[in-house]
Amino acid sequence: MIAVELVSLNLVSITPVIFEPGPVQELTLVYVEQPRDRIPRHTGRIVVAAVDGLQNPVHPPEANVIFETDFGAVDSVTFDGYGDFIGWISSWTPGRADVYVTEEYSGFGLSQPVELVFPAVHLFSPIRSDTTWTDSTWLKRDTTGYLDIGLNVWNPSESPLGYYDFLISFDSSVVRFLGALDWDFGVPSVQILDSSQVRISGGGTGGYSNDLARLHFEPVTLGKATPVTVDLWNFDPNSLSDVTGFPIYSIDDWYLYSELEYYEVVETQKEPKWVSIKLWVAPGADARSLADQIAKAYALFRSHAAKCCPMMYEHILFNYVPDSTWDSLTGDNDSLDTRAERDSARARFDSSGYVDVIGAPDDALPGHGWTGVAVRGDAVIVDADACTTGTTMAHELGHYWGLAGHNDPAGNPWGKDNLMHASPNPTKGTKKCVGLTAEQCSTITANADP
Amino acid sequence: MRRLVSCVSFLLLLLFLNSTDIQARPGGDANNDGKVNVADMVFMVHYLYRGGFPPSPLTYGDLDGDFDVDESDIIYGVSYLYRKGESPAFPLEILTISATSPHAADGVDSSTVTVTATDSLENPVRGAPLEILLYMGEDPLEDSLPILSAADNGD
Repeated sequence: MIAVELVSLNLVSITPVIFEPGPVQELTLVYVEQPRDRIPRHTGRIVVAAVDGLQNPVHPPEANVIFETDFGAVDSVTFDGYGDFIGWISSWTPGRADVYVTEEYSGFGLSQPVELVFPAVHLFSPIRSDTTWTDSTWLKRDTTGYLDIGLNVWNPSESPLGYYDFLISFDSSVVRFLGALDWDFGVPSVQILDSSQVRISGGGTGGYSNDLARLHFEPVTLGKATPVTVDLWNFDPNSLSDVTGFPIYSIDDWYLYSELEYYEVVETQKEPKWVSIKLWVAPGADARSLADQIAKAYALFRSHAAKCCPMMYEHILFNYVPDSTWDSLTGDNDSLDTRAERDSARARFDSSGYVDVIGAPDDALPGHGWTGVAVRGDAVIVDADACTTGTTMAHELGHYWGLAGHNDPAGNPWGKDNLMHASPNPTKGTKKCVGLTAEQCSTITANADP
Repeated sequence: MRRLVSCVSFLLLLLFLNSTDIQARPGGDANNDGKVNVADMVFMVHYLYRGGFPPSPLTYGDLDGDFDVDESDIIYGVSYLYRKGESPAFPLEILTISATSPHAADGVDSSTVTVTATDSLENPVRGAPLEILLYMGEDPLEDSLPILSAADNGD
């Protein structure tokens, strides 16, 4: 339609123009919209134009474009009136489709098939980061000022691969991962692999999940600092995603700033370390006394939690050793006062994944006041009846986790109130030797894996 | 003889009526009363400044022939009526448009659009700022097309 107008004088005249294109001479690809770029994400779109020898679009019924795919299905073909034929291809199964496009009457087609990729799962840029901003420049890390990143996942439920598995890596010198917040739907598994990697996996529920997981980070650097860039990278270990290897989140020029005192931040940095204890109760040993000793040790280490000391008791197993087993140990069986006897006990009561604590009968350990013996990383042997109000168990666990005592070659650089000090001898039950230095706690934490 | 006189009178009457019809609305007859006088100026003032009805068609308000209706047309009309100025021209009244339909199968890929602007006597009116628009259905496809050439006859 052509119109001529003289707007100022309200004059208009219109005439139709009948356009008669020639026969189709070519099929041109206008654009492709991949499923990952659409919602819902199981449908892709291919737009082509059938043109004559003068590049004029040829409309139906003079032209008809056929879409054929080797994967998924062609849902429909539409014509938009501007000369574009649109093929809609969908698949609920992840994979790649080659779509062949031809014009029915002329036989002309695209020179090569169009590839559509149907992702098993699509994790894309998080929609939100909850931060406490002041004057839009500084991230103020106060009590609510964590960096809070939501992850969105598209997970086709009909897919046999209807699960997702991502590695989110980040620069641990910039941000620290604090954990994930679960929501009411599609709770994923969030596994901390190391200080700079988090693995997120899950499955079951399908569809588009907004805010499937929210990852909490806090800045490592405190106080006013130079701007840093925070990148979260998605590396898809199972190649299920079409976006593996790309950053899913990025903050440029993030200024880290805290109004908290440093010691408060240290409090937030402690990471409980759970250990498992297997308690071997010898015949004649008082199991209740042993339990009391463990409770005291627990309380002592817990009091130093701010220095990253481990928290114990993921679970404690009580094993009551039969007489026959105890009698089969090397030696006279009434005491463990020789190295050979103790080695025999350690070898017999050895379990992986646990700190083996052998509760010996009263006065079974050698004389001169010993009530406990520990072999680093191997076992702790304590006198079951000794020091129920003292620190024997904690002291020996300290040895177990690598702390030197006053008789060790490394010497005793700590004060008299230190747990590992021997004067007054903590193995004799004094309550005064309960201190631990940050260095000692660090050693314990490093060695606290059973 | 009487019959002959009657026939001649009838033809003269037809000729008179016809010429009267053609001459019935001169340019500047904004109020469409067949005359150009002070009433047209009053009509124009009401239209331009007091929300009155526009001349119908609007081109009859374009006394000065600049393809717009504004204050200058009132000035032009007053000059004509009271200061022996030039009379308003017959206004642009008719736009006609025709276009050839291309046939790509014949190697023809363009359409020639012909626009004719005339007054009520079908005399060409030149210089009108026309816009030519191209539509696909009701959707405009591009901005106004340029007028590439003007014919001697005013097209």
